Order: sequence, then structure tokens, then C-alpha cells
Amino acid sequence: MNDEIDTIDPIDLDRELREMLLAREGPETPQPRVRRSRRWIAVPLAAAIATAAMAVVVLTQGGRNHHDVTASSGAQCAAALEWHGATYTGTRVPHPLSFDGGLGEGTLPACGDNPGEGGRAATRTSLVAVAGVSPEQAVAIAGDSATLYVAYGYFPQQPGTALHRALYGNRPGLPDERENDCANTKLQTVEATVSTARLGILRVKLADGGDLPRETFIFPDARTIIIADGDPPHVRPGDTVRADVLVCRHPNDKRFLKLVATKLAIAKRVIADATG
Amino acid sequence: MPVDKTNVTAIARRAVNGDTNALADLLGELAPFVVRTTRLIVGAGTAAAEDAAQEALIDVARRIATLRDPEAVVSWAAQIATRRALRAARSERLRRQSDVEVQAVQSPERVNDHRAALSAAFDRLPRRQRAIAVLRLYAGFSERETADVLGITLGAVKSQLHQARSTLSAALP
Repeated sequence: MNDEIDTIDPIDLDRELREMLLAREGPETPQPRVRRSRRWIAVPLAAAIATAAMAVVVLTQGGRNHHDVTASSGAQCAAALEWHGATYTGTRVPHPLSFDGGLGEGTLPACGDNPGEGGRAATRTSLVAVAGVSPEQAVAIAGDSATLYVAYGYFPQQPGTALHRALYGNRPGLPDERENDCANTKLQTVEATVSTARLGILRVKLADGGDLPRETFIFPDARTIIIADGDPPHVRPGDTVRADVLVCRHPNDKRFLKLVATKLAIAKRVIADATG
Repeated sequence: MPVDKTNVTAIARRAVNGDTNALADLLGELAPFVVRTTRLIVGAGTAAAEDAAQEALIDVARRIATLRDPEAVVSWAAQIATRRALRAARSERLRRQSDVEVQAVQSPERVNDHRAALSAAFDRLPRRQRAIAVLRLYAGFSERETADVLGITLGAVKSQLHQARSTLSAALP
């Protein structure tokens, strides 16, 4: 740097510039945009955390505590809402959703310890139906056409359904969980009890997975054959599933593990009759 | 340096190795740095800046499993943030509106004319020069580290930083 600067010493300028940048660095978290949902911050980041948490969890081969980041982190709120007793998980959609009439109010659950610092008090919000999709399966927040809230237990992976179209558009081959990471694969049948089922991804406890971790995830995709009593298929915590899974491992990463369901049979939990 | 590298590296190592609690901790540690770096490059107080910061954080969360070297987590996060910021700055053409919006976020501590001129001139810099200045002077990266984050040569960092200084100096009262 040989050229001279005419009017001010570069060291002084750097100092001033640094001070100016520090003065305008702003708050530590992204700030909500004007005229947009207050949930703007929470939804995509929490969804990303959830996705990343799943990705990290499947990298582990058991023995770890599979902690649910979205539900527990005080730093960020889960991308969830409650409506008519059901819980919905938010996810970004690639194309704006078409709305189809108001549904009244739902609740954004409270989260975190410090509202305003990543946390949030429970909040009522107006919900709308998504065109062609039963509100039992998915809803949206009025004014936010970029986020679809899918009810726990439903499978947006199934092509040919309105729920699938809302999430993936006209791409019946998505999602494809068998790409890239499934280079080294064997087929195995597992039986498991469902712990949670957000966005169709099952968190399960395997009855006997051999060398698989006892707690893991099962990823259905667009090619998964789902067998269930109801239509559309639905799964709840405590249900048991029998699944043919591709056990995907990465050739260069021993920690990588991903179970992709080719066939998924759902058996409803048997609820004991109190009288009998 | 806005981030405690030792602490963050230790957390990143746990997160990459499958500790999901550590992932949340890592995001908490990196968020202020990622958000502010992105915001400063794009233009403080603009919607595009906040969007870019948000997207950068999402990228960090989603890609953590791909991080091969936890020691480089801060540079890695800076690279993600900078790419998001440069893309946002380009698409939003922020310099046209920066004067008004930046003034809005600087109050209530009304700055003196000198700094206001510096701030306005900074917003008129080409986006890559803004990124270099932010990485060097705000984030505390070396010129080599700045070059690595931006994927450009060391010489390019030096020349563009020099150009930025010249432009800013000329704009001051």
C-alpha cells in the first residue's frame, strides 16, 4: 500500500471507520421487518435448527441423548402453532401459498425465558386455510404465504396430495432422501415406536435395530409406500411402525447414518379400555 | 474480535460430532457476529439486511454437519454471512436508499457531522469494499483471512481496502 491518502491518516481513518461500524452494528438478533409477521424471526431459524438438529442426530450412532433443540432452546422459539388441540410445525415453501378462507385464531406457544430476547410469550394469531388442503393437515398464518404449518403426524412427502403440492409444488419426485448420502446402503426391516412425527419425519425408538442406535429417525420420501388404516395416513406418538428402510451410510464418514423408509406400515397404538 | 474463538471452537467441535445441545449453544455464540457482520455489509437498518442476516443464520444451522474443521468455524460462519450479505446488497441496490435508512437506526445518539459523512460514504462504497472493510476493521480478520473468506487474492484485499480508504477520506468534510 504505497499510495498516499490525501486528507486523513489511514490509521485514524481505520479507527474512525471501526468506531462508526461499532456504533451502527445494531442488536444481536435479526430485527423483524415492518408489515410482516412478528414470527418472521422465529419460524425459519427454528425450522433450520430443527433440520440441523435432525441432521446432527443422524450423524450419531446411539448412546447420545437426543435432545430436542427446537423445544428446549431458550434462544429461539420453535416453529410451531396450536389450533383446535393439534400442534403444527412450520416450514418454508418455495412458492407463495394460496389461501382459502379464515380459520379463526390459533396460538403461538410461549417459549424462552425472555420475550424480546429470542423468547416469546404465548400469542394469538389469525390462521387461514391453504387452498385444497384440509386444515387438519396444514394451515397458514394470515399474511404469511411463505410458511406452511403441517400438523404433527401427517406425511407431506406423499406425492399426488394437496399437502405435497403445497410444500413441493409440481415436483412429484420430492423429497428424495436417497440422493448423495445413500451410496453405501443395505435394506433392513425395523420395528419401532413413534416418539414424534414432525413434517412426516419420524423420531422413533427401535425395538431391535441390531447395530442401529435405539433412538433414531426414519425419513420417508416421495417413493415411500405408506400403509395405514386412515386416509390420509396419520401417525401419533406411541404408534408402532414396521418399516423397510435403506440404511444409508457415508463412505467417508463413519458417523453418518440415515434410515430412509421404502415401505412404512403404521399400527395404531392400542389404548387400554379403562373398563376392561 | 467479536467472537471468542476458543470457546466457539470447543462448542463447534461438540456440535459437529453430534451434540445437539452444542448446536444451540453454537448458534447463540455465533449469532451476534453473523447478524452484525451481515447487517454492516448490506446496510444497517434495511429490510434486506435483516433478511440476509436471517438467511445467514439459517445457513449456519443447516450446514453445521458439513463443517470439517471446527477450528475454522468463525471464518466459515463469516464466509456464509458475507456471501449472503453480498448477494443481498446486489439484489436490493441498497446504496440508493441507505442514507435515509441508516439515519433511522443511528438515532437517538445523534452522531456528529464527521461520522455521519463517514457513514454515508461507507454506504456508497461498492459492496465488496464494504465487506472487506467490515471483515478487516469490524470483525478483526487479517488481510489473509479476509481474502480466504471472500475467496479473492491477498492483493485484491489490499488494493480494494486502499481504494475504500481513499474514497472515504475524500468524502469527509
